[in-house]
Amino acid sequence: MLVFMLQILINRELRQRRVYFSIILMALALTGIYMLYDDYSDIMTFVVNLGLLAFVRRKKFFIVTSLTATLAYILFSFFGNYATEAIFRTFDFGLDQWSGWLFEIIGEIIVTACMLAVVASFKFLQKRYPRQFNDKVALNVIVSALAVVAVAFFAITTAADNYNIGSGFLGILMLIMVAILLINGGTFIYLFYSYTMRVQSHRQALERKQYDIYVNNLESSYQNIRKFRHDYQNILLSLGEYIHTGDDPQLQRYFDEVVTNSQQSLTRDFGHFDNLERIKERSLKAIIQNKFSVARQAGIQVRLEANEPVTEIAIDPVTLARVSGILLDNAIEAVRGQSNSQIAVAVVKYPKMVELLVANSLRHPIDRLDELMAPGHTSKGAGHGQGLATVRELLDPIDNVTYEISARQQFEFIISIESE
Amino acid sequence: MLKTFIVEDDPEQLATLKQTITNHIMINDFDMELTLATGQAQELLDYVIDSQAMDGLYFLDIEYPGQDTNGLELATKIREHDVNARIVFVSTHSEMAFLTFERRIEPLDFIVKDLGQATVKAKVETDIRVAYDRYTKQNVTSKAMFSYSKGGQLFNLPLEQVLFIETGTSRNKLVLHLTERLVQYNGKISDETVAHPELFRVHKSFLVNPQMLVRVDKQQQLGYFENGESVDIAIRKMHDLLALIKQSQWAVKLD
Repeated sequence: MLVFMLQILINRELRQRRVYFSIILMALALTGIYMLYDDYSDIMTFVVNLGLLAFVRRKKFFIVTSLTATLAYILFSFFGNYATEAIFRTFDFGLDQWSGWLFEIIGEIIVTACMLAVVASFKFLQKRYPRQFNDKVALNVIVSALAVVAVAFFAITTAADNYNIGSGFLGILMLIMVAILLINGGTFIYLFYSYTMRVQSHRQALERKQYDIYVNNLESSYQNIRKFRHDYQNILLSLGEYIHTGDDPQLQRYFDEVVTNSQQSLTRDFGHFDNLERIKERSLKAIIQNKFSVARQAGIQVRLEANEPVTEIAIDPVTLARVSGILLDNAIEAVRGQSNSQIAVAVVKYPKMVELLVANSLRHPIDRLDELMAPGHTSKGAGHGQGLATVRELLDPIDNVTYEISARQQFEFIISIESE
Repeated sequence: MLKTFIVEDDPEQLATLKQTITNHIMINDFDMELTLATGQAQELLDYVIDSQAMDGLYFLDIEYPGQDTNGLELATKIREHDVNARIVFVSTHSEMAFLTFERRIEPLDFIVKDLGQATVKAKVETDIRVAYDRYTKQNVTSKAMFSYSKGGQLFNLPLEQVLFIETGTSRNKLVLHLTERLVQYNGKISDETVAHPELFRVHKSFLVNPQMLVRVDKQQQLGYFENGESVDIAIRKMHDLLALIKQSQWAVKLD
């Protein structure tokens, strides 16, 4: 009965009227059989239990649950007896007529409690790792593992019955089996997880590689556009010189019209990929790319200057990423809502130093730069200050790094990183 | 005589630029000449290296396709040989690296070609006037300069922008307070005191440009600057500072 109950609790698909009906039939039949012939009752129960397969669609899942239920029942009823005996011994109860009943009841209660605990933990596992429970491979593995265990157990009990092995020895055998089961389970889980982890990391590496290829393609095609734009602009300019030195006012007027139109589209901010290919330092590149796209979405003009390829910067990449992230966030925050908002980043290379400049247009002039850096200072108007204290905390202890702030026509933060 | 130079690889644009500049010099009768107008960056570089003490005005393009040097390198080398060079970049908007050039070259101006010939002409003329104006004034009063170095790079600025130098929160770091700028750099305040005799050590952690003080509070022992920043003044130094202010007749309010 308990096994069936457990089944129904775990497997939602079994909650149908015909299932209940057939279970009652089965239970009655089984009880009848057991009254006549009690050997191999566990195996019988299990086999009959498998009859429920007819009602479910997810067969493998059902096998898993029924095997779990049967095994759990057998184990707990076995150890339940010991547990109840132990309880009786501690409370010094004698095993007379009525306490025999008590013994049975307490035993059943303990077993039921254990079974309920199994249900709960099964449900919990299912909720926590739904993917594994739907994964065909995983289910197959679990089914076969449980099947092996079940077969082994039935073999042991049958053997024990036939050769009249005492229950003490059987207990030891059971204990060994539980240990093996646990070890097996642990190994399996470990293998399974290390396998999934490997698959995952492999997939991530693949994605990363594809992304890099994508960015490289984008960069090179962007460079082509840039080159074309440059040539085109120069052709237009020198063409303009010819036309304006010539003596054809109609042509001049027409040319000016055409040029004003095309200049507008030419000077328009083309994308945040300008010069990005020159920044080889990965974390800095990622930050700039990310923040620039945020800024562009907010309608802010962005500009990146890098005159030479920048490969190595003598600073911890995490610090650099944090600092540049804060500075760019500040810049975006500061220009948000300005009519002609602009952000510019420059990576300037010197023989023995690299400087990172972050600049943004200013709405109001800033009078006291020294107050900006003070911890806890935030000036909502200019939007700076928040985070600048953090920047200072991060940069101050680094020997080869110094910084400058300036607020002339625009706000500028300059980080100078000397190569060591 | 203020010497003017042009490097522009496009012959048409070079011709126009040349004409604009010569015309403007002639009309205003400035003491200037267009010394060299070329399409080759190297030609200008050779000229600059050969001659000494020039204080020239340079109109440079930024990209010279097919040549070894670009505008930034050319300008950097010009600065090395002609410290007071007034450099104007004339280029298309997409080639400009405003921040980078501002930081490395401190150019006089950027002229964006895309804005149309009329605007370019007007800006070139303005720059000629500004450069000429500075050139003539500079000969009267030679401006005091202040410099600090970072990563082997020397950064120059007029002394009148310097307020004071303060010891930083970390060892060996100093903070230079300018009128619109804060500069942190590596150094020791004792070394800076020796290196800049024009500055006055008012406190163990403050080295002040005394000309920039607007008010000295004798009671609180504080010195104030125009933007509201203040420095502590040590009692021992107060007397010397006041004497210096009196002697130099600076307009500092005392109370």
